[in-house]
Amino acid sequence: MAVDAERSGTPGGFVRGPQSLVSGLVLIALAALALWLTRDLPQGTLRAMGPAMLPRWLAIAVGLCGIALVVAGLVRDGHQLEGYSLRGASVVVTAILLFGVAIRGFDFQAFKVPTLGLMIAGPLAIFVSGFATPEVRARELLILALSLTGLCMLLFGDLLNLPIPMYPQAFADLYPAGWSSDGRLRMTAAVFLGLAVLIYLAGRRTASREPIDVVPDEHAGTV
Amino acid sequence: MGDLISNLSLGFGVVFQFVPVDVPGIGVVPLPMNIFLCFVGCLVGTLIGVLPGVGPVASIAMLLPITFKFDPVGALIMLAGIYYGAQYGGSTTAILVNIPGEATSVVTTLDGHQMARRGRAGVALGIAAIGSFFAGCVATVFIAALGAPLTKLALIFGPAEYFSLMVMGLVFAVVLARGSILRAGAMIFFGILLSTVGTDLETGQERMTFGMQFLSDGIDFAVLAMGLFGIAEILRNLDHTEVRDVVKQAIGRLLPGWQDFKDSALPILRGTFIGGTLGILPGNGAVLGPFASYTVEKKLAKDPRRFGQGAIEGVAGPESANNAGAQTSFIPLLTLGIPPNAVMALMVGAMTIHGIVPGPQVMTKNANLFWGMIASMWVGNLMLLVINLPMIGVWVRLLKVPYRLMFPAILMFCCIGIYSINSLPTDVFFIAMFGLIGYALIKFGFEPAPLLLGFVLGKLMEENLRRALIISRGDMMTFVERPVSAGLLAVAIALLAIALLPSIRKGRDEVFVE
Amino acid sequence: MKAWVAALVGGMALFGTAAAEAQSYPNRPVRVIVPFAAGGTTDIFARLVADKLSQSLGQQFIIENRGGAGGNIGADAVAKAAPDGYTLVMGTVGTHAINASLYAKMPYDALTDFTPVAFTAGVPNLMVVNPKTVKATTVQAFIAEAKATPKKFNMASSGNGTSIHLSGEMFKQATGVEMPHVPYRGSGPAINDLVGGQVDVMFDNLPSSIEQAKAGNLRALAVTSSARSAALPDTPTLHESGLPDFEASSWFALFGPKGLPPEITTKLNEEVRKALQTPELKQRFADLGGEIRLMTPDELGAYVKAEHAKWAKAVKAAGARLE
Repeated sequence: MAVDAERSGTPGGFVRGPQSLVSGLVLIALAALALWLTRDLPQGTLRAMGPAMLPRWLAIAVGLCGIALVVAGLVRDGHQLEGYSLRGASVVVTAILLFGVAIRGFDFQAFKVPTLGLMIAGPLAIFVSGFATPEVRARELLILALSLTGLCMLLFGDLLNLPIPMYPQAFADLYPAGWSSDGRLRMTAAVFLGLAVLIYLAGRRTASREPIDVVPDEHAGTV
Repeated sequence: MGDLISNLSLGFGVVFQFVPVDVPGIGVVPLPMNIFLCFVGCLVGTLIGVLPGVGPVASIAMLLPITFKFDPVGALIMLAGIYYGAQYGGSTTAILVNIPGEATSVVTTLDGHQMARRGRAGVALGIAAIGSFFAGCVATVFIAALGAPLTKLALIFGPAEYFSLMVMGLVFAVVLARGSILRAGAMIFFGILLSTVGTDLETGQERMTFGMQFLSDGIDFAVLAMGLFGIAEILRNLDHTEVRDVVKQAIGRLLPGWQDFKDSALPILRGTFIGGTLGILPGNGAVLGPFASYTVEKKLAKDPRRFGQGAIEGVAGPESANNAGAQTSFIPLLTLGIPPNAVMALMVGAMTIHGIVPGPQVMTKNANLFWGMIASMWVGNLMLLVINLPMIGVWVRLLKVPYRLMFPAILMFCCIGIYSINSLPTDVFFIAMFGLIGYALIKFGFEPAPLLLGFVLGKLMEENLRRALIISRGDMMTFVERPVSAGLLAVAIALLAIALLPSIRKGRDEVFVE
Repeated sequence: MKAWVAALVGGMALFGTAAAEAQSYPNRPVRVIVPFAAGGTTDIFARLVADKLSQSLGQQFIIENRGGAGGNIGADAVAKAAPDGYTLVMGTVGTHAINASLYAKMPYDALTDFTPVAFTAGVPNLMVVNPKTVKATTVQAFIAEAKATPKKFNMASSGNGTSIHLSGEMFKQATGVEMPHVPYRGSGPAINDLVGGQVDVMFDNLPSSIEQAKAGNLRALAVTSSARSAALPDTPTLHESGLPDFEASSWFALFGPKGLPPEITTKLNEEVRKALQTPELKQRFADLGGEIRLMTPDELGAYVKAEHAKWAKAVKAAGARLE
């Protein structure tokens, strides 16, 4: 599906294994980064090894592997570079970042987000990430986002009792004072699940079911 | 022998004990509380094991206050159930969606997920369940019979021995690799390099943290694994429409057939032995079990090329090793009071909260607890089998969900799970970053498994290397002079030679190209 | 159902507006942050106290483990939280005394960024040796044995800059004994190697090594507190063993962010003290070697200040520093 940016390495020329060449260069860059980051740390002696000794040796080892790959890329025929999908990567990463920002609030200099909790972070992550594929169907995704968030509230908050923020405090305060925190959580989850069912029922008449293509996997095991 | 039988009967007596419980509406009736708690523990454990990221540590910590109401034996039986239940549930996620929840299920992703992709998810799950059950039963008897004497083995292992053990473990990583040895080596080194990020244990200096506080404790395993496997796998699948859906072929049989059993019997036996032995080591030697078992199976196989393509031995052996190790890692805790890993440290906390101070005297002072827990492990393993075999059908059906709905769900579970570990939003950001790195690595033809193994072993290796050198006052000979250490290093060299020789013989091409 | 949908929409509109001021504290769950991993002594103490507070105050006290950077990450989160009594931290000798001198960059000031709430317990450290590699049965004999061959013994600790490490450094400083420091990740692995004879001595927190000492796997030479421990009445203090005024204990106390309303502080302090006096908690703390001390918030504030100054000297003497 990688329509966005299908690229392959320079064909022909003196580069015979572009994948090896590029991956070798990446390793060399990583090694250089590690060496640069540990430049100020003492190496120490064998008797009292310093903090930089092992990372430095490892960086050199990684770099040597990189050089070997570069050489291999120049002298041996190898794989072409695989194409990549910009849409998938960027949308998925955005969805994860949104979740991280919303779940417990975020405060970095001028950028402030209050604690929104799973109530907002969950549907946000699901709904946004769904757009990573062009097959996206918004209504279906909305149902998934609401129902899964409701279930997760019950599963993580009620059943497993994990300390995950569920909703903003202002939202919890909307409930009558007599409600226990468990009661509020369950009711919120019920509302989410109810909404999901409503949307499902509302769209049922118009939706037409499409068969899902099941294609054999050609790529399994090649990576 | 007579002792063993009387001890075990004491243990089973404790497990099957009927406790009078006040049931509302019925009155006080005797109920087998411990059996019930064991069941709850196994059920909760399976659940959190299946959820990616949610580890047994966070869950046991959260459930600890609930156990205040129970008597200590029942409480610990339940918590132990959560632990090995989670080990068990973790393999389900590894097989179905290629996310290893724990270091020990990394190996299961290699062939287990490939089996799922080939429509054999049910068989993989089934053989994992049966292998684990067998391993758990054997390990329980093993603990009961030899727990006390084996404690001494744990004490021979000093820093030098651990270093050599870790070197041996890294050699496994080379054997583990499917493709070129050079690329696997690069990933191992990179993995160890990543493990050195964070505050240096000895001098307290920060290494490669970019001055960021959340990096000062290093990179969390779960974050790395979730990114490199979970998120990267999603990104990779999004690339190809044709490989979207996890199960492309008709789902075959739900349970392993006769041929599967025949293929798995010996790997299960060997895996149980390997995992059980490594599990005794107090420095979390259990993580090596599945890797060691996989290495052995791959070396013994007539056609090693099947490994990584869905070989059933690659699931049966490591899964058995995993579960055997999970059981025997209770030995240092129960006989010495020394916790070998984070979960066991939590069990120590649980014991102390319940007024039992863990230590070498638990076995004699709290015989009920000691033997009750051991007996409960056997019962727990049976329960896991009962819980999980019927679940296989449900799991396999879950794979039929179209991928466009599957991946947002996986993504959210990953996010919640990773957040629940440390309550840090930065951990959530990091899975996105490692997801991108993992995606890039796949594109460049690298495998994430050796990287992860290098990462897991790297920290232990560096710490023990430096400790050993402080104690020996800088004398490298300490690794050769100590017999156990020397033996382990010899095995490592032999293994490496075996791994490299075929490719050297076939010419250097093999080293560079798959 | 419709009413709830309306409420939900209303809730969205109300975003960001402050919650109605509580009439009586607490009227919603309280988060108690434990700045260390679950299962450790801090975690156990916090859970025991939180469980009692949940019962007596009628609201859940939820433990949240937020470990990292020697407890600084979790403590910092509370220092920067709203002073409404709904976010508290189980502070320790590390987060509120040692770290200030140990870390080059501290995200918070332990003395001014917090409101002291209640002290829970102190735990002495125990000087334990491996009985096979060390012949000495008293501290003085140990000093003589160690000095006879310099750098003969190795001293284990649960990590750089912990009270276990610094107690040892204080001991080295006071006696002039040379022992290379071998740091481990936590007490468990260190005790394992100590029992196995890979290392020789450690100034461990009493709870994690007391059973080993009782079983004869380790030999306890002294406790580091100023008075003997009720859990080991026959073990002398270091002060008694010829190291005058040697005092190095771990302690655990509840703090809130600075500016916590006095009513809330007083209420919490009273409830914690009540909880600590229940027979159940008394027993549990005693099992762990924890010595309960009842302090008012002001007493705790003074205590923290004194500890802060004391450890600053110890850290300086030991030459320890974390970036």
